[in-house]
Amino acid sequence: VILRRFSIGKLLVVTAVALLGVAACGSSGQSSGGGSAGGGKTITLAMITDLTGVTAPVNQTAIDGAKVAIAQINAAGGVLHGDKLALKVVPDPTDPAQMSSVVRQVSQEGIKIISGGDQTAYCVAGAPTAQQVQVLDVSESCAGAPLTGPKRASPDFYTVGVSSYMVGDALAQTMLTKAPAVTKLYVVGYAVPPLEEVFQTVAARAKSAHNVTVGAQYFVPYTQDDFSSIVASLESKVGSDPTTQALILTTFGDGSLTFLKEATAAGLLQKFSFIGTSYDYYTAAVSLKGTAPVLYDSYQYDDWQLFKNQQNQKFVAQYRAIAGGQYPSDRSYGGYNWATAMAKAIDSAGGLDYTKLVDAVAKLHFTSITGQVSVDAASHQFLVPIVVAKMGGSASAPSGVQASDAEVIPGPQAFAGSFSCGQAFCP
Amino acid sequence: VHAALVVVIGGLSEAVPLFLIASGLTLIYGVMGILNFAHGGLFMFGAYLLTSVFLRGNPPSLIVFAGAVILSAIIVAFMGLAAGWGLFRPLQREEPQVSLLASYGLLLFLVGLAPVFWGNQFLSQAPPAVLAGHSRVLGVSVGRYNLMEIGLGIVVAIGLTLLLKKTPIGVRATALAEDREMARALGVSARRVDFAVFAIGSLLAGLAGALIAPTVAVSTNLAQAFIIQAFAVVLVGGLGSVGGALLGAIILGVVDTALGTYVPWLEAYSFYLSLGLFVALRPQGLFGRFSEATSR
Repeated sequence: VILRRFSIGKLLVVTAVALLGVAACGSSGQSSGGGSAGGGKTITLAMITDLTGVTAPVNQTAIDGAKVAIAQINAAGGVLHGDKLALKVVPDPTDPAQMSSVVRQVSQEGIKIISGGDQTAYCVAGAPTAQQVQVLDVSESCAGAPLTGPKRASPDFYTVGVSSYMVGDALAQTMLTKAPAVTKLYVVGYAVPPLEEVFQTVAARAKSAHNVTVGAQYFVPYTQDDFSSIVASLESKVGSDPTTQALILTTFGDGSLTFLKEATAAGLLQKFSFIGTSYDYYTAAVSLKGTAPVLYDSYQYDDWQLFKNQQNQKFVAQYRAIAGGQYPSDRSYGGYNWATAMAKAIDSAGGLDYTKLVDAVAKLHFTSITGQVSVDAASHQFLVPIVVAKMGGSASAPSGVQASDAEVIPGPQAFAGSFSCGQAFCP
Repeated sequence: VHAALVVVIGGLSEAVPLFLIASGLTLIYGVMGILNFAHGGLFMFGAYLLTSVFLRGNPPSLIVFAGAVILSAIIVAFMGLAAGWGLFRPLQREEPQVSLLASYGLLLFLVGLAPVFWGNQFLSQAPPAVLAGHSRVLGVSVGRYNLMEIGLGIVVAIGLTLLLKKTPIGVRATALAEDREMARALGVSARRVDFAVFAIGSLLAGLAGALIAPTVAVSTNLAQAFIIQAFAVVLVGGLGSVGGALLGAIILGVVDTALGTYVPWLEAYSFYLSLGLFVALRPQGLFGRFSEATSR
């Protein structure tokens, strides 16, 4: 009916606008991984990640972190016998079901190492295909039972992404130490498995240790950008004694920022003696320009100012140079570790042979900015140290955020602790 | 009683931004018959303009803030006007689906355009110092900024009603919404009224975006996060009804907060549940009718 009544000219107008929209959406943040550098070959690593959705801003920090590592590796002579590394950023599909074809496409371009997705559903969908086409799939961010548990999507899948159980357990231990009078836990978070697992781990640990119970829990779609109704609901549920109440925030990025702004405006945060979060609070805190509320963050890097070693100073300086002056965050460090690990795996395998690469990843052990990184043989989880720190706004800090009271838990110790929660959901 | 008050006041806080977005949507639909998805993109630009261009995230004085909000809304009105003139006007005689498709294309374009100017990082805008913090209303803690928004929402609702009922352009717009062909036969310049309505509708989107900026993270996600809820408000209120948009926003806001309070696991689905219920019981919405615009 439309076509019969519709002139060609007007159809062209509509088509042009739709195509412009699609082109504009797809163009942001892409980079090419092709071309050769120096005298040797160029080995391209691919990150398949969301560049336009809710997670795009934090994914960009991971991409930038990987770029820093690659620049450092190339400057130091590259991998193998002088081959250079390059990064190709591949936008993820709109539907996880299409991940298989994206992985195949990347494979057809000759790429042998990928980080296949930044969300569990995408990683789960892409991992079996990566195994089939013999592309090493080591995720920069995905973790959780479907990928690291005994029935994981692919036996060859590894992840540098931080385990929800590890950060959850570390956060719970900190809460029990810093706020021992807490008897009620409240949670606001995204309804995605790894973030729900963080809270489940906190709740289980707190219950077993101090019989802490859950007051109310709100898990919302990660596309949710307005938390005003949740803030109002929480306001009606929390009691009057802050010392007995703790809030666990398992959102990230702009969701954390929006919730904290709305909760601060309503005076809600004052009703908790402990507020903990587990996923890149730094990015949200920086945007609050010195006014970020104080939270305990349990993740892998937390704040660039915490680590005084030379490796970190170099990382921060180079990151700022490529990220428009911004400071690195948790995911920046994740991207950095991912690219560093892949370079070490290539060197260790002596090339890009799939079987040798998989074996090499399993045996990786290296020193990174926060400490020793190794790989758990059973779960294929990279054991990165967990960093728990008190973070809040500071007008005098260079990035407007100040971290203090930090504890760095070695990866194997944090991993072992996360097994002791004694609940069915534990790995 | 306290919990009920929390629900009502929290619901009102949530309702006002939705009403501001939905009122522009429903106005454009009522007069021009266009379901404009790009409204979400214009809303997002309102937030970006305020945060990045005019205030740069810093807490402004109340007067500077008001000026920045108005300027942001005016710029967005011109953007909307350009879209109305360049895109929707030529398509107006086509099937409604064509404009719908074009508006979605424009939404995608705007969402893709924003990172070109502002990058992929989300931004934050502080409210004016006088509106920061919270006050107690009937024993319930409410953000001062939310109270301002509620007050402004009432002013906009009254202003829009007066505009439509008491001004020549409003009367002509109402006539076009009632019966476009008859109004044109009687000498109403549909072209001028359409432009004016598109500008006013877009101005409301820009106003909503600028006003919401101090309470949320400003990112491209704003474009689609609120537009779906605003469409739900428009459908519940009745397509083309500004009064319906106000009542629809209040009902959906209060229901959302109530479900969040009493059945937290349903909170994420409250808009869809409410919309489904209304569509089943009263498909034309609270104040809707199957008007000329609707059937066109």
